[in-house]
Amino acid sequence: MVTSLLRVEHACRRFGGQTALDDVSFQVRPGEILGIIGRSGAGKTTLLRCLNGLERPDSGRILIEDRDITTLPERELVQVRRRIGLVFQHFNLLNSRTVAANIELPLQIAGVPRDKRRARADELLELVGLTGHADKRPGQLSGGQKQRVGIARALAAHPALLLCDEATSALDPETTLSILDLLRDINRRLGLTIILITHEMDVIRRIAQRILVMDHGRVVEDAETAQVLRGGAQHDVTRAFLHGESARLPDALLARLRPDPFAGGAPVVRLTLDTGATGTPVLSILARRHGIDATILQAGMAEGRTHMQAECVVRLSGHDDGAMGFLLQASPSMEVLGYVPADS
Amino acid sequence: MSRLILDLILHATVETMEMVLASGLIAVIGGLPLAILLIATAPGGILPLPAFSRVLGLVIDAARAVPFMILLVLLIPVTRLVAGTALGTGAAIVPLSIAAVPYFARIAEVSLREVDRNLVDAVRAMGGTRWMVIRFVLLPEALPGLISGLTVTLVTLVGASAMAGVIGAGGLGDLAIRYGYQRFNTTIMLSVVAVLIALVTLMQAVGNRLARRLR
Repeated sequence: MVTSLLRVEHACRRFGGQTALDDVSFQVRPGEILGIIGRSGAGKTTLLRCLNGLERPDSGRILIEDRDITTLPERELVQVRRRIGLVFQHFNLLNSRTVAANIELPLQIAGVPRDKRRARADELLELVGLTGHADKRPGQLSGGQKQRVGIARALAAHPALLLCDEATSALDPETTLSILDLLRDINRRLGLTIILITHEMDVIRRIAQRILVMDHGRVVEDAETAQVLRGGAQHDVTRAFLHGESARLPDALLARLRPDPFAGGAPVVRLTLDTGATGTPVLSILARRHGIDATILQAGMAEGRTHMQAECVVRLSGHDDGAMGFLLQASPSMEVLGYVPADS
Repeated sequence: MSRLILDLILHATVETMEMVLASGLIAVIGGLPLAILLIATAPGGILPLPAFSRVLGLVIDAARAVPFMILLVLLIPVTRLVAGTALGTGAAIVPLSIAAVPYFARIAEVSLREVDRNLVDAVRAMGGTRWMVIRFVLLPEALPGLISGLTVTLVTLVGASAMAGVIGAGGLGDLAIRYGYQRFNTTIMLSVVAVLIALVTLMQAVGNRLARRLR
């Protein structure tokens, strides 16, 4: 009996001097939704390319339905790839084909006859809620619709596993929700195993039952999502993702925020400050010594490694060369979020 | 304009079209596979063979480096071998094709290179073979660019075929030189120029239209 659909054992991959995958091991059970999260450069993309055999790990094994794909010859690898449906960030639809023909592509690759392909495409169009769009070109669809086509295409050849690579990263929040709903629906109705690769905690929180956190090519956290959300995170990187989640900026501020400095613009920074006895009166010092006024735009408490920390987003008015250095010392994780007009 | 002159021009136009279309066809048959080979074997391609790709590129560029006028003369023995004669429309097709194949190969290569790499990876990841990548992704996605490239090639061939007139190839160039230049017949000279302009304009318009419809 197959107890794990996918098993990665001690996979390592290096590019020159850079380690992209460092002893990565995990399993995926049939029917589950696994979320893999990591910052860019954490090794997510390399892992994905290894999972579908576009790249081979230097060492270690990757077993899909109990077949080790790291040793398979190209010819057999092609067969394994057809068992994996892929959903891409930028959809990767062919503009030279209609929507239906795009969905039929994996079937065409597998050599399914034309009439069967068309019937399957119609079935899938209905599943993803795009009935009636069969003969349109991808260029005529919205981003969300394109991704629905991408999902339909990934499902066409009845895959054992659906791999989603930043599938919602190019979509607006509302569309993201509808695509995630669709994926959860597919998981429930078809019992399909899904792996989501993302950098957004929100995606994981909404649909992944299990979370895998990657950092510098290593898996630093492998746990039930619910457990992590209840505060059971074992690793700093995981907490950083949860953290980033809690302190989302208000929309009104985001609308005014510009990425680059401009004349009359005041920097907006995120500070994480120690509280209580160990803390320094950072904002007072900023005003007295550097003559800079700090307006608190958002503030909250966060659980640091050893004690509570205050996290606040402030706008700095006034100019002093030493101020940034002082702030960096007080809050090493200080982040300049952008610039807003000083008078707002 | 006399009936005779009209006949001459009509006949020459047909000859020019013959030369241009025949060598254009050969340019596609020969140049497109070369372009695909260049793309496929380039580093990061679907069949990376960098050394082979470089050598192939060099050969193609060497062929393109020879000015057509010189190629025309240089290839006379080859032309005799292939066409049985070095004179006439049929014979001119040989050097025209040999010049057009590497020309179109480079132009087609540019269009093929512009196809989104992610699409190639996507089809590979779906279990598509290299041949499927070429058939389902590279060729259809690059088609508008390839059509535009072919239009440019055909227009260039119109010019080159006129040059072939110098060594007695027939066609509009031949007519302009023998009647217009050597016999000082201004009417024929101007008519030929007018026909050439009309021909090129027409080809460009058809090409643009086709490319736009496919985009």
